[in-house]
Amino acid sequence: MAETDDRVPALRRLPAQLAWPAGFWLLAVLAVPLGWVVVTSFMARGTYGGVVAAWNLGNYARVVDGLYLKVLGHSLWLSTLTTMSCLVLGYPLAYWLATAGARLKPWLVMAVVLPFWTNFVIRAYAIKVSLGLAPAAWELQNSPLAVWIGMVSTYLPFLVLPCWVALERLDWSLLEAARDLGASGRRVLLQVLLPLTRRGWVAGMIFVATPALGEFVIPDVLGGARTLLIGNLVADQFLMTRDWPFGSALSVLLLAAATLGFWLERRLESSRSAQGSGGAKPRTPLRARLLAVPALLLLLGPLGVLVGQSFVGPGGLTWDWYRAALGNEAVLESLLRSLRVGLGSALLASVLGTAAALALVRSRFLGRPALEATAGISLLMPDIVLGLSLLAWFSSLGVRLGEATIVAGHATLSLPYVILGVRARFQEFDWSLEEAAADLGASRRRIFGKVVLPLLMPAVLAGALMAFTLSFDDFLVAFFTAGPGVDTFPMKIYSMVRFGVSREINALSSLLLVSTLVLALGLNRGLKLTRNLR
Amino acid sequence: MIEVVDLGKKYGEVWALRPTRLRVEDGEFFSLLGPSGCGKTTLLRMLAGLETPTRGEIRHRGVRIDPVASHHRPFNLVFQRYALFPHLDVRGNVAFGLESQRIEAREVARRVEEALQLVQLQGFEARAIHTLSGGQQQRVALARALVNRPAVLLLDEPLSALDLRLRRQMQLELRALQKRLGLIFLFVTHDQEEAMALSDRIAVMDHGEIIQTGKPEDVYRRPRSLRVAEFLGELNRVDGQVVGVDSHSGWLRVRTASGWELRACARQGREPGSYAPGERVAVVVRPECLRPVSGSADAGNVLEAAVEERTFLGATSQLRLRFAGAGAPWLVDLRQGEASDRWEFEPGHAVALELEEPRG
Ligand SMILES: Nc1ncnc2c1ncn2[C@@H]1O[C@H](COP(=O)(O)OP(=O)(O)OP(=O)(O)O)[C@@H](O)[C@H]1O
Ligand SMILES: [Mg+2]
Repeated sequence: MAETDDRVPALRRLPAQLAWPAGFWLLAVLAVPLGWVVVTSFMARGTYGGVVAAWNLGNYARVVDGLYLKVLGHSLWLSTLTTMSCLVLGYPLAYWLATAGARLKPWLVMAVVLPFWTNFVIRAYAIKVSLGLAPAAWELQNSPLAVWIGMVSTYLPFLVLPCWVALERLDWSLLEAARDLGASGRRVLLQVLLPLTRRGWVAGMIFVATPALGEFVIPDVLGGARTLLIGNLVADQFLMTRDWPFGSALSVLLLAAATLGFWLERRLESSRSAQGSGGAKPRTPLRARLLAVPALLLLLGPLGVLVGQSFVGPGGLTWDWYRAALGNEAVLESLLRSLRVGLGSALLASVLGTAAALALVRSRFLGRPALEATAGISLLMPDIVLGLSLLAWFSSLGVRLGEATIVAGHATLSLPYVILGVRARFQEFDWSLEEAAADLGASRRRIFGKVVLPLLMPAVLAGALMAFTLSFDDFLVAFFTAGPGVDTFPMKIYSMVRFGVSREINALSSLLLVSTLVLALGLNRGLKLTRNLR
Repeated sequence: MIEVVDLGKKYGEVWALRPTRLRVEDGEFFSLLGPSGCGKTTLLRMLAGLETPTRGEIRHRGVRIDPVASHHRPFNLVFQRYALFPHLDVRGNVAFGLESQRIEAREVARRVEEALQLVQLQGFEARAIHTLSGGQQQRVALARALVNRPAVLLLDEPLSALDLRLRRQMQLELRALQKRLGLIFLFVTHDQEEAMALSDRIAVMDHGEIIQTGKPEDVYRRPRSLRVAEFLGELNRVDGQVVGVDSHSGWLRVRTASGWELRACARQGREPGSYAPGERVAVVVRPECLRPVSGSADAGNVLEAAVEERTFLGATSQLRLRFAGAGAPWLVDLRQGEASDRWEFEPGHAVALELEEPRG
């Protein structure tokens, strides 16, 4: 029973004010800072590194300068390569996820989500350790291969998840029909499966390509800082060269890419063909499973090596690294800080985001398209843009950087995920349930409390979990908004990785990995998340 | 007693339900019957208070209730797709309405148990909704509505998702339940057999309006219009002219274009005497009112035709006949006892048909 948004019946209408907190937040901690970056990009650099209001286009002219065009080319190439690799490796995995039996499915979901939920610095580090096991003569350390593995394994989930969703919603009887009409497996794939799930894989490609464009930490850690990318360039302008106007112009480019991605995704959404799910799912063909193996290896292999290595000492198996890790107070302090920041920002984001999602679906208000666009664009925006725009904004306001600013930054980072996740769930909500409740004598308050909210809870919790993960995983935003001496856990690990590998990290990472796994499995049990996803 | 006066609903510029008048008495099993999209659900939803009427009034025992919010109306709706709460178990679903009214827990428990007994679902209290079969879900939906002791139970095609056997069984149970409780059941369906089997009265709807109301037999035998007749079952139609009125039986004598003379019943709502000789009329004959006979067509209501096709339907067989000269083929039902498999009814053979005397 699809109903257009502009005709929300009285029974289901919710107050538009619900969107205000999130709207205000996104305005103050995202839109205005970004606007400030845009403004700065037209200014000039002062003699001592500040900005002066001498309006000009020079910064943009410099971008198309030969030297920087090469940098741009590198970034584009990295992004394209990553996106295509993710598509080829990830689609079979998504297919397997969609067709797997009930017993295997939660494990596969875990395989995709677990790396997603482990800190990306840890992931990068795990890859480093794994490649370190190969003979030195192969020169895998700091090689393009290392960078490729790091990029693909980091961005793979962003492609697999939307493809999986699209495949779950596929009307599988269409595939049977195609087979029945004599189509070969190849034709079924190219002419039926891919076109019908286009929404999923194109969205996935957008989700990978745009943020990957601004990526530089992975190439930095795994590639040994050999190639210059837009990301490094931007960071350098803000942190080293102190040429903020030029850095801003580069950021505006990344922001434009995100906006383009958002626009493309929007078009995709509106062109969606009506389609109901149904039909019997086939058993996953052996071919699909085999094709999915490389993706699984990339996702899980390094993590396995990491855990294994954490027990290896100079004289055989040992617990020493664990003892050392738990005795390192600076690390523990940063871990606690990350937990605090994660919980704080997740709470903030899920409360604001849920309220906004409710209003987006069930009421009309003036700023609605703006709110949707802001959320959609910031979802695709490379993290570095958010990080430095907050840095620029906070410092121009004279706000003291510290834990509070990290929490604010992280809440902004994850707010769109909560909004869009809860909104998607709420849009699929079976409205006749509310009518049934009203018919049974429930007041609007009771309908909301006893029917709507409980049914939305899985989405809200998933959003909160996502928010926590994003915060716990984030390096860049924290790096820019933390201020001196305030290290989050990823920042700590990053610096440890940079200044030589310490085996303690192995142990600590393994501990985190196991706790993530236990937490995730527990939540899955408790919330029946995988069942509700169906 | 509920009364609907001039009640209408417009979506945009289109009337989903044209201003309608309807009265349902206490204790009646009343069905709304009509093709898809004719406005049945719209009417029901307005009664339940889920849709605001564009115009008109709804009265319950003489009191206007259309301004009353849905959750204060003594009406309960059984939804077309049940709309059971997936996050609550069977008990939670059934208790929902009572808990909304802040009824004391012990009383709630007692009435839930009673309601589940009524629909024969004892022992299912703790079952999750998605573990129930379609028929069981349907009963939960019924119990969830009945437990509130509504004055009127509104049912929107509650049996449409069930298979034939279960459907028959639930029909019987519904009917028995209604008799026992003595409530008004307002039942929506587009299955004419179901409506006729269950109801005290039915209203036939088409294109947003009620075109005939009455006892099932009346509506079936004496439709007010061709549309009603067509909707209630298969029929054969022949055009003719009124010759005269049989004075003591009140039947019309009609001569068809091909020269047959038939005796027919006047349309519902018209006096036989009001037909002028020579008036053009359509006569409709139900397939089950025709019987093959031996002998030729000399008596009044006997027709001759050639068998075109015979279809085996289980308990009956159906013949498709074509008359010499006349246009559309006719359908005739044969009960198995009538030796429907006799060679005379093979395609190509000629048969003579006798019209059952009109009744009613
Ligand atoms: N929310 C709505 N907006 C616009 N038109 C509607 C809406 N609800 C119903 N209609 C239209 O009103 C008419 C009557 O719809 P209704 O649902 O009452 O039909 P129905 O008799 O219940 O049909 P069915 O047997 O298919 O359930 C239909 O033409 C339908 O398209
Ligand atoms: Mg209907």
